[in-house]
Amino acid sequence: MAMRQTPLTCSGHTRPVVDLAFSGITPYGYFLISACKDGKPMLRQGDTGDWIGTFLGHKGAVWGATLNKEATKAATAAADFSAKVWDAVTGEEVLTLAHKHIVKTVDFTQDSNSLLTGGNDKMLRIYDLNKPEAEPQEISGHTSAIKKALWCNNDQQILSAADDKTIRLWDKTSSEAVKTLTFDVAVSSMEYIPDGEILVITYGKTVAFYNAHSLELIKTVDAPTSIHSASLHPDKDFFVAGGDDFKLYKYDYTTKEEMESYKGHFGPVHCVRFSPDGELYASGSEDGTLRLWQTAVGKTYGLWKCVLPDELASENSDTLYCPTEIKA
Amino acid sequence: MSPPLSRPRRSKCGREARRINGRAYGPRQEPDARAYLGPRNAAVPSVLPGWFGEAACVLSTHFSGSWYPVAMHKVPVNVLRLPRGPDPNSRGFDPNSTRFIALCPTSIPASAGEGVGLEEEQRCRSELRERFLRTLIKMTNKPVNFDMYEGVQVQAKFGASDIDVLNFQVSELQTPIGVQKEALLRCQDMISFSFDV
Repeated sequence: MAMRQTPLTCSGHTRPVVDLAFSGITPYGYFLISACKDGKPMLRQGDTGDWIGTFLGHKGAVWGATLNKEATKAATAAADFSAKVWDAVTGEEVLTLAHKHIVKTVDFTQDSNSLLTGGNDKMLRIYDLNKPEAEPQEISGHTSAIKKALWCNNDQQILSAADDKTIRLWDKTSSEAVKTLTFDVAVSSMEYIPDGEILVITYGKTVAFYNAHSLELIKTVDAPTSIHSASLHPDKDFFVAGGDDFKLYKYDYTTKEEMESYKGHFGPVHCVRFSPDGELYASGSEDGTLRLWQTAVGKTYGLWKCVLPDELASENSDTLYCPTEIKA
Repeated sequence: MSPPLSRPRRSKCGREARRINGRAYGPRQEPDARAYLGPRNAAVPSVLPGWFGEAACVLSTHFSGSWYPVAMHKVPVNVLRLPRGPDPNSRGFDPNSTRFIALCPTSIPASAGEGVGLEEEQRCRSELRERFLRTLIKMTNKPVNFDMYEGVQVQAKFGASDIDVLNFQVSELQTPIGVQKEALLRCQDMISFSFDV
């Protein structure tokens, strides 16, 4: 019996969702944070999409959000020229880091002791969270607004993508650019997979995979539409991508074939990420919703329940929510 | 698992159809038509795990031509319930959740260590908190002067505070551009406030 994907829609935001990030797997499950232009980033339970809390305090659109591995801290980057660090258990604001321009991206190190920020002032900053009053380490070099910055290679190096159509690999100790990649169009998103040292980059209609150490191209895959974000499955057998045509595409990583595409969003898809266990992926869209999609359609996981045909006849239908078809 | 299709299959309504990348393509039909485009001879088991069911539809023939997607007879995956949305009355982070109880200290960490110093500190904290709350009560309906950032100083009649002391509800807020009948002042924007007892 062929199963059709039922995405779980997480509502609550009132403006486009521009960024999302998962935490690692904690004893309490894993968590998801979403950055939204309404200035109110939300924390959700990763496997069900249930809302846990909203981080209140930013005075402008939140462009970037991230969680640390244990989901005890959250960081957000906003258009109010500040990056904030939050306690992800109580929802309290812990730190406000003032910047000179819109902050677009934030990333924690593995030990959660340092925070990397980047934004429209073209500067990368590294804050020591144990000494927040100290001046941050600044790394300059980009000639236009920084869109995304990530720690990589055991937090010894930094990868940054900017509107100057380059991606630069920096050494943290020397603050020098080790390598630069130049493109014809600005890069729309970047994802770093530590296990395997793969970098997933999207630009134009292409999804490209690079080696994170050498910045050597592994492969590129072309999509039918302009892609805003892509994510590689932890087992590296497939990846998902979303872009301007509102659909989510699933590709086989080895053969580069398009396996499936899913409709559901009512606006361009801005961000897509796999969960840390690879069982689902989340997408954030211009329509203000997040949707959770199953990797293995029909499998029992989280709120999805696999119902076998003989069960369907005898099952008490009150316990199951059967989604009706909704035409877009 | 049925082998990849190498030739077009006929649907129940007699039109040619192909499966490409998991979707059946055929000449465009009425939007309501739901022709079942199953393989004619394949013995598809009646009970399939979800992933296998989907894999049985994924075939790798590539084809370019003017075909349009036709409605497939696929069963949507069942869902126990929808994800819970935000509570309109609070910012969440339920203090009764297992994670909160396990990870959060039940009180603000004290600077004093264990023992007498800690008790004294807790006593002082309770006293200060009580004084603050009593100040808020005393302030109700009185004119209060607020000193805020950017050199802003305004006067207003204090109404109430919210539970987390994030906002103050005030009336008759005197601003340089006029008197605002009702307003909410953001507490994080305030440096200090004073009033006559």
